[in-house]
Amino acid sequence: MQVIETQNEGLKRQYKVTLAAGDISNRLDSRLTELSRSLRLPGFRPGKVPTSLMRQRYGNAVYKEVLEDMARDSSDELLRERHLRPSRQPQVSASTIEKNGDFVYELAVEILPEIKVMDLSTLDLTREIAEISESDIDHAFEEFSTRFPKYDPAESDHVAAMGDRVIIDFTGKLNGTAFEGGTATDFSLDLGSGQFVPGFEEGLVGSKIGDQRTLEIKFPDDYKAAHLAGQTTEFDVTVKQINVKAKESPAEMVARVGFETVDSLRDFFKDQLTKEFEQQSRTKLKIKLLDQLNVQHDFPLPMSMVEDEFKTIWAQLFENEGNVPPPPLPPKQDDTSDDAAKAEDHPMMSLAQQREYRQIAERRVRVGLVLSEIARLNQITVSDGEMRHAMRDTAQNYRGQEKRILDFLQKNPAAQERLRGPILEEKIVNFIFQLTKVKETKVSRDELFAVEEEVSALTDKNEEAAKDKKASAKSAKKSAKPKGDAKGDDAVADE
Amino acid sequence: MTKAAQNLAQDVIYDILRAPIITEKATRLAEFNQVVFEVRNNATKPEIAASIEAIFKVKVVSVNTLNIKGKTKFFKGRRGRRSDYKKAMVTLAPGQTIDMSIGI
Repeated sequence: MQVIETQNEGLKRQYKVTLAAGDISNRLDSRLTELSRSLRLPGFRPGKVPTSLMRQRYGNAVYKEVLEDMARDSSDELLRERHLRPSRQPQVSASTIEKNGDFVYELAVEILPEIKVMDLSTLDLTREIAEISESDIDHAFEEFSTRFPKYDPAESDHVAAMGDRVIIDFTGKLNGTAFEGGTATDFSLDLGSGQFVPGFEEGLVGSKIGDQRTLEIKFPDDYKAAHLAGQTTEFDVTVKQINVKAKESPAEMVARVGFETVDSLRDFFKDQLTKEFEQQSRTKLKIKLLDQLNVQHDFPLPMSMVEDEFKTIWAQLFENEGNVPPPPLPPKQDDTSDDAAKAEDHPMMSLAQQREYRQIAERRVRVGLVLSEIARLNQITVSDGEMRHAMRDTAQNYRGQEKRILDFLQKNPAAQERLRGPILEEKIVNFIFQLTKVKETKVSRDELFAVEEEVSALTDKNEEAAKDKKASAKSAKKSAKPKGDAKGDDAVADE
Repeated sequence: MTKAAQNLAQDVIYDILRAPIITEKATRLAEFNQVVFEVRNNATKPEIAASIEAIFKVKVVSVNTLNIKGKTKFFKGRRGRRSDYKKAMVTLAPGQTIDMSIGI
């Protein structure tokens, strides 16, 4: 193996590697002999096929395989010999076979930068702590009671109004025939909740118990069930019962939802709020930490990683629109290469915005590298036990399908990887918190929950991981949902 | 032999040679500069030699032939017989070879 360094610039390295023809043919022969041992060919006993015949018949097919193997081995060896840590898979390109049988290829790598982790004990971190006030609890209490109001059956001459809950039977017809999912009996619908197609709830306002109404509903054009989108349908609705919101004292309300006293419900809210506040102050502290890590470290970033990250952001931005437009060329400020000249306003995003997102990508990569370096130096890893624990926790979020989710996670290493990321991050962050003296300040509730513009960009790194997790689990959940239980609300309900 | 070669029409020589025989034994014969073919049952040694010379452009030193009787096989309880064939072991002039894998 002969290696010539063709580029050594910043973090980029490029090598020209030559593999000698003799080495290749040796490797080919040994591979062929290996194959011949298990090969069954008519006219030959297994393992007795002569090498010359093997070469003749399978030489070309195996040659490619051998070359790939050798290229991989040689590039591994190259990286090991020169103590290079690649930021991602090295790129092999421009491979040619010379006339004398030598194989020449080019290897481009971007190595990880030298990262000098700062003295973590010098971090200046302040934890914001907010006391829970009585009014916070009052507020939660209030919200709870409006969200779960008590309903009483109305008098027979009551006229339905917005905010009432009606019990109805309905049959939906498209061109005179009932369509699937458009029929239900004893369906309980809150008027004004926006649960159904626009026009449906409004159409029931003013009805009385026992009324039969026919509603003409035009489905919105972007309705998710394609066969109904934009269609005009008729719904035959029978109003069976009307329930109106009833006034009740706090004590009654508490009793209705299963708590003994008003105080016990308040305690419950207090616990919840405490958790919420702690979570929030931790999140904020973490943002500050990541922010400082970002500022305190300065090292060249592997551009390929930044690009990858940018592409991820890009894909996420347009995720909802179904098809993701191809990302624009990188606008680099510092170089004069062709790429910079070609960078321009993308139809979906202006150049300035691109720059902004690219900066976010750079921050993420930088912080990510620092964190992983800290993990490496201090041997922080996620143990199998912790993984199992996390998987169980995730599975428990999905009532009734724990087993399914657990199975899905166990069989799917990619999904596990998504779980592993956040856990490792938490561990590293905890580790840093232990090293650093974290000061504490008291702040008000509003201050605690005020999101600062500049830091929000960084938060979404964590949220993103969490989102990924949710999304994957969600899709699993959706597919797992049995068809039958979605009878009435599937087609009509507007999620 | 060259005389016979001239007398054989082009389509006949391809008819005489049926297929190369590639087995462990046959490949070992390569050491002695011999190649093995399956040939038409009624082909003669001169015909075989002429065909080989015409198709592969090599010099044939000698030809040995043998008839292989088809095996008796049972298929669904009925007795059947595989067809017979003639095997020809052809010795080539020193230094000459035939690429057996290309077929006829």
